[in-house]
Amino acid sequence: MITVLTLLFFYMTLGIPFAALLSSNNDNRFKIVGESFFWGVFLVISLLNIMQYFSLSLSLKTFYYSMLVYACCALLVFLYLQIKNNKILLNASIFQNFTPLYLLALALISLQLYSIILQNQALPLSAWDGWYGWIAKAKIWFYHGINEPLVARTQWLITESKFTSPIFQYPDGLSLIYVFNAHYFGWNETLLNGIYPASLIAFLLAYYGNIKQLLNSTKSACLAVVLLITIPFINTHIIIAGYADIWVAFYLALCLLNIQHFLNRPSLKKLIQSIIFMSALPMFKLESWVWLLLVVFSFVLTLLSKHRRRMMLLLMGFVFIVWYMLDGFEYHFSFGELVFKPNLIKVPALGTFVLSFVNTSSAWLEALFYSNNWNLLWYSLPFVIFASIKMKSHKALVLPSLYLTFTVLFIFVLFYMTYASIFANDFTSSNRVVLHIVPVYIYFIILLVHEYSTPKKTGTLK
Amino acid sequence: MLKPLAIRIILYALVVFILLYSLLSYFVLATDTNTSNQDINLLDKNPQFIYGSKIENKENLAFQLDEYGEAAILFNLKQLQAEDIPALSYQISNLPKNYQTLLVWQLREQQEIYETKLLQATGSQQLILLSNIDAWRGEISQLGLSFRPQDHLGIPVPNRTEIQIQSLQMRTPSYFRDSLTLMQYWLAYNPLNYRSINHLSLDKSLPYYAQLQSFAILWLLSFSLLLYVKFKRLSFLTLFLTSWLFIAFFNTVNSSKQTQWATTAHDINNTTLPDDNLLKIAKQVKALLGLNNNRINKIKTNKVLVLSSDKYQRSRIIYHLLPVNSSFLDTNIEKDTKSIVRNGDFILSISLNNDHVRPQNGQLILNDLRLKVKEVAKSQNFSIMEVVK
Repeated sequence: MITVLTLLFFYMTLGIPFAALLSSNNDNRFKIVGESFFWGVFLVISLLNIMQYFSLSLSLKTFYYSMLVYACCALLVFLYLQIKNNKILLNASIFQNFTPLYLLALALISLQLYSIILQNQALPLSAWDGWYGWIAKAKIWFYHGINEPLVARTQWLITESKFTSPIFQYPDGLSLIYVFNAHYFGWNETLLNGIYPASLIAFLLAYYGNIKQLLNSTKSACLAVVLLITIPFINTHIIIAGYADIWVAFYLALCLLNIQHFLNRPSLKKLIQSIIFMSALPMFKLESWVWLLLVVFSFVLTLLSKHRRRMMLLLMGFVFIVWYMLDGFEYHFSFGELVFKPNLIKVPALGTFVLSFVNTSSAWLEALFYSNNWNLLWYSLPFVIFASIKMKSHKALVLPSLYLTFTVLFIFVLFYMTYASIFANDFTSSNRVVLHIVPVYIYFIILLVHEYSTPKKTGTLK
Repeated sequence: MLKPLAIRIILYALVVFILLYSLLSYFVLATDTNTSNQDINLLDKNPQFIYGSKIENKENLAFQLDEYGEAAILFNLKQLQAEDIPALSYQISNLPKNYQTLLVWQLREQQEIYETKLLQATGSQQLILLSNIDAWRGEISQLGLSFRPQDHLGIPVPNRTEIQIQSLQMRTPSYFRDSLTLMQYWLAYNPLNYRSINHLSLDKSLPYYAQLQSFAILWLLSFSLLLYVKFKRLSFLTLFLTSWLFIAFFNTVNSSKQTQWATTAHDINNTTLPDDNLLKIAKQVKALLGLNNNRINKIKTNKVLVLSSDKYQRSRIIYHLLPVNSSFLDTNIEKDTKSIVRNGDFILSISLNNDHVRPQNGQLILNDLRLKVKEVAKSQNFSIMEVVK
């Protein structure tokens, strides 16, 4: 428990100056405090990535203690500014809206968190991808320094004094966080896993704060947090720590929620915050590039007027039909071949994907509806589809609905048309990909319910 | 939102619905078999211990796990038709929390051995419904019980606790005595394993209509309809939430059991791993390679190539060997091993089944290739060789 709180507090203090500087007057404390943790994580990974890029030989211990000193200074300055501006972090007003129902929800959330923390802090590192890839990489760097290059196994066999990792070409974010924390805790995997429950607590605060602010409703925010914390698959990813998927889910949700703030009340601060959370995504997983592109695309479409957006979507549909009828296209560049055909996609540096339909529906039905992964989350789909069609003119729904639609299309292509269908049928990655969008989906449900129950307060697009 | 009266009606209705549905599903489950009303007390069937040891002079069947932390019991059955016996009733006490009990059987004229996990023993009477298991068909030639740690996150710590089987009976379920069976299934301890990170599957030994999810959805649909008819309004959200929280309640109960297990099975100061034996081997190898003498650079320069036919074992040992510079050697991929290995490199051949490759007369033979090696150390499970060219 102490480990988790230490990590939570440490990363929050690292990020608090940035979160506070980029906050606007109407930002609530939950949002600022929760997001500051993710700012802290982003800061540490970015600095370590810079050190790696320039092969700086600064001792990690020195770096760790410098960050510790910085965190202490940042906290003192933040508290001084809060007192100077007569802002108090915790006061009675926070609790004044809390009815017995909220207290019951709080008790449920606390119980879940307590159970998650106890389990996380008791289990060894047992997640396959954790010890096989992400954390193994961190262990090499902990002992040999973060500038130690990692090579593919085939290269490792023929070279001397180089280390290999099955994920040598993958982003280093998660591994670097473990290396950094290990300079305080030593190489104790169970203690190092404490970053996961810490991130969950921070995310719940940020999620609550963002939804409360966006919908101006404590009830909706509370409901969103209760739904999120009672999803078994999310809890499992915190308990059995070591995978990067939950980080992608957290940053993706924060990114989208901040874009929504920007759309509601455009300001440079909100845009910067969204861009930072966006750029944190590819630090954890390569697949995040797809989510990033979809976020940007949905954002651009949301900025258009309703008429232009429709035209754009029609144009896209038309282009797709023409592309399909003409059997795609291919270009030859000096650095490789770019092929976009209905049966083959080839992108230089990314790979070749043969497209052919494989029916993975039964595996999907089991994963989403007939398992213990998602509680009843996906049973809400008929309601979500029905309500979003009925309320399609509501401005607040545009961004998340566009994003979720594109995501579903991407997941369909990935798991029905490519080699990845194997991973849907054996459940090795389908649920984890779905996990990335679950916080956004829950926000969307809450938004629909809110818009449905308060139709007069919402505006419509011109 | 609904008025307090309506909420109270929903809550009362929920309780009635749980009881009715639980009973109904159970009746369907229990009557879905051809029974011969023949009860068999397995404790009278000359139980024989394959692993573990029986403790004599005890009223019940009492035993201890063996040095590997396992126990297996076979029962002497002459003739048993699976379809005649739809359920197994058992009462087992003192079973360690991280252990599972499995019913193991073999059908006549079949090689395959089937097993099904029993609900975690709690010390009180429990029932497992066998008629829904696909493989529980035909004439049974061998029947037994196996006690071993939970999958992968369990730890095979030899346990000297005296485990007792108070009763073990194959019988036809009784409608009234066993009416809470379904609830026992829903509340059963379902620990996490390494596959849980990808998928949390349901207990497939229950048919779909007896699953907790089906119950929650049926409750949601039937009461949405009822409320709509009675109050002319649909509070779908409230009902959805009650269903959601109903499932969350069962998950929380299971989670508290997991917490209890995790906090007792693993001690943070001396973290025991599911593959503790591999960790011990890795420690020995690291000591042999001089890691304790701060020779980190030498360990970086000279590679350790792990040779094992078991992919899980070789991956785990590579992780445990860190910060040693190691990876695996797959002789099916690397046909020309000679060109890969250098003077001073090490080859670690391991197998927990003691069938690892060993050098013969200073030579390691791989795919018709002969490598000149010096065996640095060996044990029952591994052999570490230095390449000498």
